[in-house]
Amino acid sequence: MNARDLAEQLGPERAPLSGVEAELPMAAPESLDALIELVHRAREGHIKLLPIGAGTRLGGVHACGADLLLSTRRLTGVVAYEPGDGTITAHAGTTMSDLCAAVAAGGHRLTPDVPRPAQATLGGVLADGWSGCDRLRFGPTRHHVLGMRVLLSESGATKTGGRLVKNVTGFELHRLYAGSGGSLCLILEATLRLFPAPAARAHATCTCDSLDAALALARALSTPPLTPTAITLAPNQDRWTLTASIDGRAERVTRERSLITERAPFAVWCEGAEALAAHDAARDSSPPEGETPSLRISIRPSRILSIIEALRSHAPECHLLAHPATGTIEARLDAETELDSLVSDLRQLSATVRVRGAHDSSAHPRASAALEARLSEALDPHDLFCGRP
Amino acid sequence: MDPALLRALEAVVGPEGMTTDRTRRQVYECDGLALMRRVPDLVLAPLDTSEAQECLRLLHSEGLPIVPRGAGTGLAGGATPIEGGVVFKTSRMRRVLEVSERDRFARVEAGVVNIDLTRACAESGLRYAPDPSSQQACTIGGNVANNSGGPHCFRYGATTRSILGLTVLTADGELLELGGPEPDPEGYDLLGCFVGCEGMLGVATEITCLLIPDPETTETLLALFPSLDGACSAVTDLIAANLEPSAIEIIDRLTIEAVEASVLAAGYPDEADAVLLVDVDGLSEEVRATVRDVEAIARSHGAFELRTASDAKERARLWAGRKGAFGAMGRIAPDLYVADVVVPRTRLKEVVLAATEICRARDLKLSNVFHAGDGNLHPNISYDRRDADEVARVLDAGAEIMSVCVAAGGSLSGEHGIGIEKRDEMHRVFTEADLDAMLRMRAAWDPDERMNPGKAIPVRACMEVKTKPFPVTAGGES
Repeated sequence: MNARDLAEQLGPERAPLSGVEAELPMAAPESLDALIELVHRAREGHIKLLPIGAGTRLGGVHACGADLLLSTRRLTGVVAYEPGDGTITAHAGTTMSDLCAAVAAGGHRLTPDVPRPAQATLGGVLADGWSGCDRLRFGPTRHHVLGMRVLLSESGATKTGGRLVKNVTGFELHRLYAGSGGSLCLILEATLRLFPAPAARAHATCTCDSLDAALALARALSTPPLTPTAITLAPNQDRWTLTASIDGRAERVTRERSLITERAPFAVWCEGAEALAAHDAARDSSPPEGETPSLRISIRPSRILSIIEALRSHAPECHLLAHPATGTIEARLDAETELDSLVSDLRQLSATVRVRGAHDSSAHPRASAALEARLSEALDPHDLFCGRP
Repeated sequence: MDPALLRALEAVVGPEGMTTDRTRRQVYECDGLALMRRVPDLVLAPLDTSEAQECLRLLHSEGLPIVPRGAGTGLAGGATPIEGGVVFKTSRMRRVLEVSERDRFARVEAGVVNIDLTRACAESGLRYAPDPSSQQACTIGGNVANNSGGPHCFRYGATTRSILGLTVLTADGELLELGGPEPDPEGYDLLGCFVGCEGMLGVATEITCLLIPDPETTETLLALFPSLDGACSAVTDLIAANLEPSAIEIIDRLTIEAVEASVLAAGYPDEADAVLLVDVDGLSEEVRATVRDVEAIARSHGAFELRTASDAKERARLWAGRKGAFGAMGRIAPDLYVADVVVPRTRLKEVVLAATEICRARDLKLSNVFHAGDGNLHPNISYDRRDADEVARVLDAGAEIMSVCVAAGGSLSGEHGIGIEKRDEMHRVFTEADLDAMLRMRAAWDPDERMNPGKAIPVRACMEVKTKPFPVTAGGES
């Protein structure tokens, strides 16, 4: 049996993936039983699987050796949400916007606040591991994953962690699975910690004449006692646009707005629903992955200037969105960019770089590569799942 | 032990870094869980990462168990050398290597005491958030191994949320740099996997910690309740109302009496059956509004008096009393069994009630001081370890309390870890397949299972069995 036959028999899915021309056959089983059966048959038939959600971040598919895309997009729904406990457990295929809507009814919000949440699924977001634009306030996504149920190629469905906000019972394998890019397991279900929904919001947009000025402002806006939820930075023709989202109790928003106005008197403000729309627009300006390579760059905030300068020097027309206060940058390169040279320079500047949608030929073997290989072999001894972290 | 190996080890760490004398080794026979003990064959205290690596390489050829140890303040037997071997303590690695005010991190050696890190960065207006009750003694390395909590992890999270990077040595002396000040390292989240491993994957020798800015304002509120029930209900409502204090603690009458009779007397009122201790921090306007809401909820559940600490000194005194409560319990009985369980916050009241009944039925003296906001209960049972019958009743009550918690949707440990104390209880929350996945992960780090053997994962009949059962001893050496 080949991958295409298997996809036909168990959960064919012909709907196109959003924005990505998937050349591989794809299966999207409608039930957990069907999914487990498919994985079992794939294992028997030595068919390599790439677990995906809705396929919004398929830059990692490049040359991964998969025979079949296995999507959890049809495994949807909330498993448990008790507002008084402040956690939600949901199936992997549930979209982030559906999750947000579910918890909003109980007065909660969830992190990560990812771009295009109506398409992104919980399982896909967690497997991908990249944090949302609200990382400045809440920290990385992986900190708020309380537990998971995953499918391992050898052990079947297993649980790690739990549904409690505090819990140190057993090894935190979910920390390993989050960000593993579908290389160790298939995420079936996850539990997230929730946060109070904000009572008020405001959004500031600042236009700066230079990158230096924009970064200085970003630093001023993230200096205590200010704690914005998000700060984004993007080029805007010859200038730079910096946005800051603040939210929380009304008293907090009023005070933070006043503090930001002192530091950026030229900021253009909006509030309430308009602020939310402006925040979402800034968040969604993150470059989508597509036919040309994308980069995800991490650097300590004090060094971000040199990284953006290097990026702009190598790829003046690249589509970039930076989160200067946390030191993360997403960039989609144009076809002309010399990828290896750029990535090599960024690494020379101490950045960590993840290349999406192309082969990363300038990657040096990590010191932990041997351990990572042993982990992969231990948790996926059949080499069934072929994503990459 | 092989004299040649001992000579080689001494050449690395010097005489001050090695303990061979039996009487001095006996100090390391257990951690804070005194019910189970075994004297290690050797104690090593390397001065830095380099010495530690050299020691591990030498020990690798002997195949001896390695038991990492910080200050030995753990309460689940995690640092007890239950299979003998070498206790590998980090107490001489005490340097704060770097504090970056700009990027808000500090790099420290594993033996740095928790409170000393906050002291080291105080001038920068920054602090290290995790604050276990033992923070005057416990080490950052020990906190990493146990993913330690503390009162303020209600808002700021357990240790794992404050760790950016680790220098780790595996059993064979391989050095790994995991994470660092950059927000997202490439590859798997090995750091997240390591934090909370209870010393079973390796030993952390250097740690990069996240620092957070001091808040503009902090208010400490004391709410006095006529019953423990009322205090628990108030906490459940505080959570449901989505308020965001930084700490929510409950202290019951017996604990208050013990604290007030001790050198840590904090001025807790003796007329309350339970006290709710709440910290709120942030911008001053926000703090004032939150305190008002907390007070309203407390009153609606019967709080008959509300007090706010008048200044930083009083606030420090109130928290010193809370954090010293376990020590103060020594006034009630010579020994204290500190249970550590966690339940959904909506089930607090019923589980606290059940624990009370469990202890009452066994004629045991129970006190409660716990991280109510996180649902992390510490039913503390005072006892005398010389009384074998009482010891048996304590262990029985502990197991029963765990059963009740798990039945309520809770789990075995909120912050102390599994260690040897709860190792064999893991079946209550995990299946064989779940545990098998954990063993597989561990085998990738430590194929010979030499790092802290006999902890956290139960011995099982039908799966791979590589650990030995530990001898349960009550008051004696195994």
